[in-house]
Amino acid sequence: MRTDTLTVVEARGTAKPAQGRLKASFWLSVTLLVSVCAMRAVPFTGLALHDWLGLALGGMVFTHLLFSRSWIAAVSRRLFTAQSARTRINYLLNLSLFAAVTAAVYSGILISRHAIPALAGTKPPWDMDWRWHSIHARFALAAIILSGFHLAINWEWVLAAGQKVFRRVPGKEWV
Amino acid sequence: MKLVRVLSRLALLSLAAAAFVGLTKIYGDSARPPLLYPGFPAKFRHPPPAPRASEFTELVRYSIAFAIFAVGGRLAFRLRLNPASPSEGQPILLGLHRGRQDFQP
Repeated sequence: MRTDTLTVVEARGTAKPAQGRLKASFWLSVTLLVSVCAMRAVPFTGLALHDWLGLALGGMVFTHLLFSRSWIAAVSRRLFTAQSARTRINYLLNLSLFAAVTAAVYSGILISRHAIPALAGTKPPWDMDWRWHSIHARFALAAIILSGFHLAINWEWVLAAGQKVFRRVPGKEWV
Repeated sequence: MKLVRVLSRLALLSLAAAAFVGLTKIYGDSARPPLLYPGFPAKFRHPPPAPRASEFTELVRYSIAFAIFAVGGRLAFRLRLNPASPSEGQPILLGLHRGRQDFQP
């Protein structure tokens, strides 16, 4: 196994998380990946599913961040001191992705025609707020681009976690 | 105790999200409404409420776009962030210092 794979996998948690947690984290990441792509294909999913999936995506991102809390805490403490360029870029990329997703979800809530009116028990707005619609589209596009980069920079973790989830390798304790 | 820790982390995340929401609101309030040109596709202007299987190509399109960014990012990060390999910059040993007895025709 490559050294950078070990580093990435180790950085995800200081203690030894359970196998179940790794599986949950892996499948959550896969679901997030599919959801991010599906969120952009509104004519395919339809507006109602898009609305509900957007709200669910916000929850999934929070859970994803909770799974990575050790890494976030460790890097946040030492961001400007003893960190490699890769770790710093990864951190800033993740922060930008979080900002883009938050902005996309928030603007999506503002222009929601199905999920939010159903939850609030109100009627959907008569006309679309094109200003917030445009902002929503911009941040959603930024989110898909940054998600691609996020996958790219964490590719070693995905490979290592995928091997662990799909194939049991005896004697290899990666996490 | 564990629940308290999870809740405190959730509160911290919510606080960070609230900060970004505030920034988005400031940006949104200052942004101009876009000019919708007539050629803007109707399926994006008024998307259907229910899923449409015939629009599956949209999902494929965005999946390909995602894959392009992922592969592009992978190439860029590999080129820029990975340390130089240990063999890089090392002299190539040709073995010329060895005697002619090593030569076996």
